[in-house]
Amino acid sequence: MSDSVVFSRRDFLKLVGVGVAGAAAGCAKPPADKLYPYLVAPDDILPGVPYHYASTCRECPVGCGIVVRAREGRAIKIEGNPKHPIGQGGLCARGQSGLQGLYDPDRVKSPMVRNGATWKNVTWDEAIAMVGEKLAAAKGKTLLLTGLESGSTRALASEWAAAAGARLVMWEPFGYEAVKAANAKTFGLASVPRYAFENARCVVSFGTDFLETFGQPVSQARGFAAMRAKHEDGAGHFISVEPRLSLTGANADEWVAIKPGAELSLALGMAHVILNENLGPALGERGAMLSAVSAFTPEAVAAQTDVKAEDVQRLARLFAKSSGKSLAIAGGIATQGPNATALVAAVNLLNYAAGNVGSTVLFDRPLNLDGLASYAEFAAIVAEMANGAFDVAFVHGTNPAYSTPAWTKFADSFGKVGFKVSLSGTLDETAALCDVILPSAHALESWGDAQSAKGVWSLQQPSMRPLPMFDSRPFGDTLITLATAANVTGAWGATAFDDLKARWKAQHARFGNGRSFDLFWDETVAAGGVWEDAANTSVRWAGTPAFAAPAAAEGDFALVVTPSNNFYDGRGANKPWLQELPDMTSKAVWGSWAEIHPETAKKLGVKSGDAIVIETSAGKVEVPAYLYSGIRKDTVALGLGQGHTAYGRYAQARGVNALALLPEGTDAASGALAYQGARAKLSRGSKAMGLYLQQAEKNQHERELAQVIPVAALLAGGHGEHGAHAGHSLGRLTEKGGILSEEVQTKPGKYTEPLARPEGYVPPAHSLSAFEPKEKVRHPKSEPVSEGSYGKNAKHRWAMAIDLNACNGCAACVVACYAENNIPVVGPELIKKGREMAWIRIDRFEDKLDGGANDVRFLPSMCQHCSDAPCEMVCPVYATYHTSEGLNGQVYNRCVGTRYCSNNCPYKARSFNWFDYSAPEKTTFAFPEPLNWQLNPDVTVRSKGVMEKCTMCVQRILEGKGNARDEKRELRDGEIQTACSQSCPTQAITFGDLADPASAVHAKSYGERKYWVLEELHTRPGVTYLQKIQRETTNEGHA
Amino acid sequence: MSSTTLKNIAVDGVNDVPDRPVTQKSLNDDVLSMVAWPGKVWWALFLFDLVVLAVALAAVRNLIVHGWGVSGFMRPVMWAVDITNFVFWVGIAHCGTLVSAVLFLFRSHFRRAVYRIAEAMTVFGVLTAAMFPAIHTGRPWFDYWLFPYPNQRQLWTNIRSPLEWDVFAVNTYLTVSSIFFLVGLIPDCAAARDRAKHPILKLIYTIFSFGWTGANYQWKHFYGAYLFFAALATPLVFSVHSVVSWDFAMAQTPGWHSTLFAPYFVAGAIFSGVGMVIFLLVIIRKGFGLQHLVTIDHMEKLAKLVLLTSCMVGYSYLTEFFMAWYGPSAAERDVFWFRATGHYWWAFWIMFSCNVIFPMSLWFKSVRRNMTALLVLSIFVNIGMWFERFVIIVTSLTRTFNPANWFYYRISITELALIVGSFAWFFMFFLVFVRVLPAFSIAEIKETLPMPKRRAH
Repeated sequence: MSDSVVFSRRDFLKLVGVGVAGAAAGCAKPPADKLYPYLVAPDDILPGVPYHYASTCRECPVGCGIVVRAREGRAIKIEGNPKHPIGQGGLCARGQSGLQGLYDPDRVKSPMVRNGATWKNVTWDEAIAMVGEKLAAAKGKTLLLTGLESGSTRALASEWAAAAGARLVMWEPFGYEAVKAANAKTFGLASVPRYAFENARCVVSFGTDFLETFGQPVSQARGFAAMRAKHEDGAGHFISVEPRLSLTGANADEWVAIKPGAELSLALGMAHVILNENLGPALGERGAMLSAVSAFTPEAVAAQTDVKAEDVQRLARLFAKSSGKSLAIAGGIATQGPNATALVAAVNLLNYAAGNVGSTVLFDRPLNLDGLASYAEFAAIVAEMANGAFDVAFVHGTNPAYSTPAWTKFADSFGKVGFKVSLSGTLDETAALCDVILPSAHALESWGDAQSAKGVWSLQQPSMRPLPMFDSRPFGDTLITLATAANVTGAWGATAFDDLKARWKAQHARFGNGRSFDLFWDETVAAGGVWEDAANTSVRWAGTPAFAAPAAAEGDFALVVTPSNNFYDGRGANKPWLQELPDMTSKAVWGSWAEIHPETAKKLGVKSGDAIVIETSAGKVEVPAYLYSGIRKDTVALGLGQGHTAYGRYAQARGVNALALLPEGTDAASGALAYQGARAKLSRGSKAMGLYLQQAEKNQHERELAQVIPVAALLAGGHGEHGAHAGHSLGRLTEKGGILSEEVQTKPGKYTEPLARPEGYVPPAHSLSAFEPKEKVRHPKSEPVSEGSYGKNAKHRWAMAIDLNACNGCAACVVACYAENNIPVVGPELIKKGREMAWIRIDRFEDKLDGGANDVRFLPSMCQHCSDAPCEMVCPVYATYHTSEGLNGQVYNRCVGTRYCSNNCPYKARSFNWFDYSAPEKTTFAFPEPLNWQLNPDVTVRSKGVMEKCTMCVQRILEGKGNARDEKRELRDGEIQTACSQSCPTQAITFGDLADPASAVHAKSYGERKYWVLEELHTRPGVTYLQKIQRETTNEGHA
Repeated sequence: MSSTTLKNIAVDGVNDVPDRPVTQKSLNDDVLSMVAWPGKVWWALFLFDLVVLAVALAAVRNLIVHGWGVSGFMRPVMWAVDITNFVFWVGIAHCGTLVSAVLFLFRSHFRRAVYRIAEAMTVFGVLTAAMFPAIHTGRPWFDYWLFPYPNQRQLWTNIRSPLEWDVFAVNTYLTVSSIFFLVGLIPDCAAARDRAKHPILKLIYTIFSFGWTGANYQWKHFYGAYLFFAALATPLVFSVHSVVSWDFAMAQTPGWHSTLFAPYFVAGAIFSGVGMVIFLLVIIRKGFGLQHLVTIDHMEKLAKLVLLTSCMVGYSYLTEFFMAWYGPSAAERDVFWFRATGHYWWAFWIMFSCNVIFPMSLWFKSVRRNMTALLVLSIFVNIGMWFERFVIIVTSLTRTFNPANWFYYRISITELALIVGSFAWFFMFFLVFVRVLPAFSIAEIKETLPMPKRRAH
């Protein structure tokens, strides 16, 4: 019997014991990630296949056309709609961050009723019944306060207001009142024109941030880039006239550091010169105009503006030289002071005198601002509220409790309204004052439309179902159900969607072309809207206002309140991407700072980051100082958009609200709220302040990273900084004016012929081995292994060309990259330490910044995908390696985290996961629910301890190749776009296949102006830069 | 002539004789008496050492659980104290092999009195150094991927990476220096075995004496093996630290990318290693009253070695600056200017004073023979050499090619814990060593003693 037992019991137990011990010791628990398949698959969703929904951006009043990319029913990315006339495929950083408004973890979760100092959640039925009752009882003493709405929503709101006896007031802080007023006076047309930068050869901006918040920034950026592109006379000329150099101004050839508030004098002085010397076209109004500006002789202007008389004349002549093709632009918050309208009128006069109206100033597609309340109207409503004229107030889409200065007394007066209802989706400052919150759905999850410019009707369709954790309803639906509850009837539809469709019958009649409504509707929804070519409304000079010289200012410092490229009027502040996106002037993140001139700082005895106190007659704030040479010594600048007291975890208690410093004041002519003109006292502060700089050093230290080419050299067909001066600082050894660039190897394969070399070509000494003759080293078989190792069948060499002449530093690409590649937001302290995670950043280099000739350069900087990558050589485990298609690959799974690659990367393009940003249980988690819904399923969310960097959106390359393969065709050039190249409003970034000689990227990479950053290191990058075209100017500065 | 003093006997004409009578018996007594149940002082030191080590382990736990974010590291300074400590301890480890192998081959007999301590220091130094590459990675649980082991996924290591060279260099060095250490211990362990009373100690010594009986053929094989390992270990003295230096020199970061690095690092390693040996010897010979075994002459010779290597290190510093000035690279020039005058100027000047200026006092014989002065200098040398690595790593990384990325590294409490913890880890081994194994080579010192004579009839 014992024979049949193979194991004795004792041996068996021993073995079991060994096995258990081994299992317990050797294997940690695998991560508890589960993949749940659909139990019942939805018909219209294919897992892994993205859907794109055309819609309309609602992050600012412009309303660019967008395409929302959705995966598995979740919106994951917003891109510009290339077919839409507004934006033309580009989208700014704010627009792309709309997703984080949708997925804001601090959105209101359900209707709420005030319960003392706290809120009580109620059901929609309870809330509607309660508010409906109040609405019915208010009997005409009702206010409906909204942001700018156009199209069907406005129609519904105004009909609703009329039926319910309510007053509809649409209020935008950045409302273009001065521009409208000035145009009404001078052109007889109260609208904001379209500025055709693409037609201009010379642009003078009087403090207008047309690349940031003014007008249609995305379209304007595109036009501006076209204006700046190479032309037979070099590049277009851009002169920025402002006391503090804005991001827009940083792109100028010349910075005229004018006395704050005196921009008007310079415009008139230039007009005076042009009219006096008869440099413009023949004008019937010349005599009247000349007499209007007779007081503004160059000498008088010099006294008023700190601009030398000869500079006034020079600028005027320069401007008139391109007569009919020049453009002066004014308006916007940075010049909205007591004489804002007069400034715009003066600039209109200048444009008219130079014959630009009708060629660069066009009224073909003006912004649709119909029905927008002026500040005077808003102030009247505030006064009525204070007098108890309203029993019930509804607020939606505007946040005046934050965005109007304290002296307007909005908050106090609003408090006097008996019953206040917020229809805001987030608990912003105004909502916090209300009694009931009926949360509205986000624009990305509801229907709507916008008619934001003449001739453009954009549709806004939901890109996903409303988020289940937020019990919200579309604004229109709430209005309709409230009306029903209050027994108010109107001609609107049963739901906002029905209403929208019904109202689009009008567009169907116009654009239907015989299609049925349903077909028209489906096609329009798919296209994002309908639009028509708009004819220009030609205008004549209607009347010259009397111009008064700007009053001499009193007080120590002029306070310039700057609109924010990141936050607009502050509505962007609740989006972590925008908080983490460095301000492109100071490169600071997550807070407020005051910009002062280094000499001012010296006088105050403060260093960068030290606290200073800014005091005006209205109040004082304490902020860290940022030392900025791009500001006048008698000026201090403070940005708008921060200092929220509510509005969610990302916005709250960051920095200060600059509006607190504004003393009571309006623009005399238009009544617009005056943001500028305040005088301030500065003193040293005492608090310890956090100034979180993402880039502290803004001097290139002669590294020639961001290069320029002077116009003369460009036109002579020469090369930029290489050939421009001998004696290179970085050891470039071919000084004979020769080309230093080595040709990048494009053709894969072992027996590739060497590329043709120009006569007398000398390769840089670094590329040669000390022991081998040149010929041998350059023999194709001796090409470095990273090139020779292209797979035998590899067909592509992915590459990028970045035109520094087109890049204006708007940083839309940075946000696009965050969205596409699941990059965690790490917060101010880590950014300050140098632990930013961004894969692409815009380095700002200030080579000359003291008034006069202006040299600020932006360098979009990411992994250069080097052919001889320093990182690949040093990785001990091949976690970073060269792919067969020329990419520098990064295998997160394989990365051990030695960080050697980063130490050896001359571009410092790699970021390391210092903490676990992806683990929900950790405090460092970067994607709190539902922000994690935005994560791109095609891209790994990286874990602690691994290195990451730009992949050239390898997931998009694979998608493009897969599509081509499915359709049995070759890839088309331009078919694959990286997130950054797609988003770029100026198309500064070109992505493509260098192995394809017909590709756009090939043409740019081998064309003129090309250079590689740090090419003397012989990394042979896949990213080629095109030098910025630099204009010479005779102005040597005044500061 | 019943009692013999070593003074009377000239060995190879070298006067390295202790001035107290040393007999075969007294030598055994002196050395083996160190191997005893420790006293209060030892226990106090050992417990303090363990407490410090526990703090450091807590820091390491944080690093692993929370990530390297708890340190002060950032881009661009992705290495700092971790690799500083690694290079520092690898450097310390160099002296042992130099003293035991190189000087053995060159028949420098003063090594006999000091080599055991130096070898122990080598082994423990490598053990300490090896900790840092292991814990400094972002995902230390995957460190084994750096070893080329066969695996189903057919993943291999990148043999082009200097870090991979490090893996081999350090492991080779650890293996060879450990074997060398253990081989040298055999006759002494046998002596200890013969005296040991406690059965466990007896067992340990029995194992480490490998059946040593002192037979003639055993001595023959022993010296053959010893010579062989000395010959094998000698190139390692130069290769290991050269490879470590190539971690930097192979990178193209300004301030690292230099052909000077290998000899410069080897000289620095010997410099710091000899400094550490002096430090340990001054304490041990005082603490155990062994001035007659490790004489002032011995110490003076070590001091001369310090002086020599200090000059070499100083020359390297000046060469680096000269090349930066003479060479074409502005980035390189900038980094060296920054090193001496920039944000971390203090670190540079600590390094320069401790490594070049202070050791110049060793030109004076009175200083070389003054134990207090040597102790102070040896501490300075080690501070200076720690800062040398810090300066090379941190200042170079701070000031790389793109100024937009210039951020300044600030040391955090975590790294401070790692620094003190590395010393605690080293001294933990060392404290056990002096109480368990013969800290001086009885066998080799006996070679300098005259053979006991039979009494005349």
